Amino acid sequence: MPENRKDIFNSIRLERNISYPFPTIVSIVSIFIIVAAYSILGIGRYNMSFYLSPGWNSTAITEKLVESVNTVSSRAIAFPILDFVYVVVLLVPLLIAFNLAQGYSNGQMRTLLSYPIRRRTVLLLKSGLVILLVSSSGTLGVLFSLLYFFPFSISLNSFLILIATFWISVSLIASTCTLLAVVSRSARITAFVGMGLWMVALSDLSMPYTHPLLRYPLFPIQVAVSYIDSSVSVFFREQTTLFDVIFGSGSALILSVALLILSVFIFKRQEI
Amino acid sequence: MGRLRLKETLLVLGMVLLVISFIPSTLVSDVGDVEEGSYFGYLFQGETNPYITIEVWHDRNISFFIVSLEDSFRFIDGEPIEDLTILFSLENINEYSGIPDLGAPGKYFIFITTGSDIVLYTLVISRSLPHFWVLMSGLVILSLDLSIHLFQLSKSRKSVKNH
Repeated sequence: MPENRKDIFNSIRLERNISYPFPTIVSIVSIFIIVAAYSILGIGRYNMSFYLSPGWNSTAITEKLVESVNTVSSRAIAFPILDFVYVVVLLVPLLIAFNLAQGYSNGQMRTLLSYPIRRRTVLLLKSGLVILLVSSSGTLGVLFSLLYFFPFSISLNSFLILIATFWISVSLIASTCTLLAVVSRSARITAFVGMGLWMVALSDLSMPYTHPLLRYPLFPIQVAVSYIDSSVSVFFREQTTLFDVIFGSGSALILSVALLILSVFIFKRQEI
Repeated sequence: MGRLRLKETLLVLGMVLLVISFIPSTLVSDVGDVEEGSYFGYLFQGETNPYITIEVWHDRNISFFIVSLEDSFRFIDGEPIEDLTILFSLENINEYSGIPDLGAPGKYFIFITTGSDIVLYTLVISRSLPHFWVLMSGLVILSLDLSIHLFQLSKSRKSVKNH
């Protein structure tokens, strides 16, 4: 079916008007701002302290101090991002369930497909908007809280790594839920199975005893946090390198793209 | 429609900031021990002057001083305390609670020491509530929202009169 840019823009506008009324967007952004602020305000429970006994080694302590000052800035970004994971595994399956899976039962999908838009575009648009909304709200939440509570002390390197892994994680969760929605065609199954699967994965597979080949692609955020500051939590206290971060994020990205392609493949062959 | 959305956005954002401005936050919380000739130093960052509470156990005394991050490097390098710019200090105290004027925002170090044997203490440094800048931003945004609302109200009354 021929499709021009105007049709795509119109379908984006249509999708936004149908699925994302104004209060929904504002509520999601507000949730992320509050969670980010709450996380950043909790950083103090991890003390940065030094004991100076007579005849202390000033060079070693100064080095440790410089490291600590940098760590505080990194933690200010890492903490909200770690807490966001719990919000995302609950929010993304719900958004996909109500904006994509429910479209099968309430006739919205049939209406959308009657427009001159490809099926691929419809599906990618629906999951893409969830990824965009959740990821940009999270980024906005972190920036907002950093502006108030850690002004002028943001480590750009840490910020970019953590935000990039956050976007990739959201994409991975959204693409698994998209596949679930397309296969099950049920909002309930998508919401409950999506949330359940990711909550179980988060509580079991994110532990240090899980093999890195499974853990790194599923939880690239943890790898990135561990790379930036290994002392944040006992669960992430392991030596990770930049290669691990790239491997985790890269494989998560490939996995999410593969899941989306599979969803499109199934969606194209469905009778609606 | 656009103005209505701006009004709603401002209202929600203002309320969110008001909520955030009252979230309690601890910068440092520790039970530590220090002995004569030694120092325990804590790094903290504050966007406003923090609320500090120190309690010393078993009727002993401690001294503490607060310096900027730059001065803490100089102190660790061995420079005497007299040559540093002390932002706040107290000597031989058993307990203290208050908001010292540090000229925040900034990164600071609090050093704790004692003149006697091992002394146990509890140190809590919290952000003073409400978070001033967050609260002010929230109030400014809510006032802006209210102004738009009043402007709209007067405009609609005028148009009714004209009819």
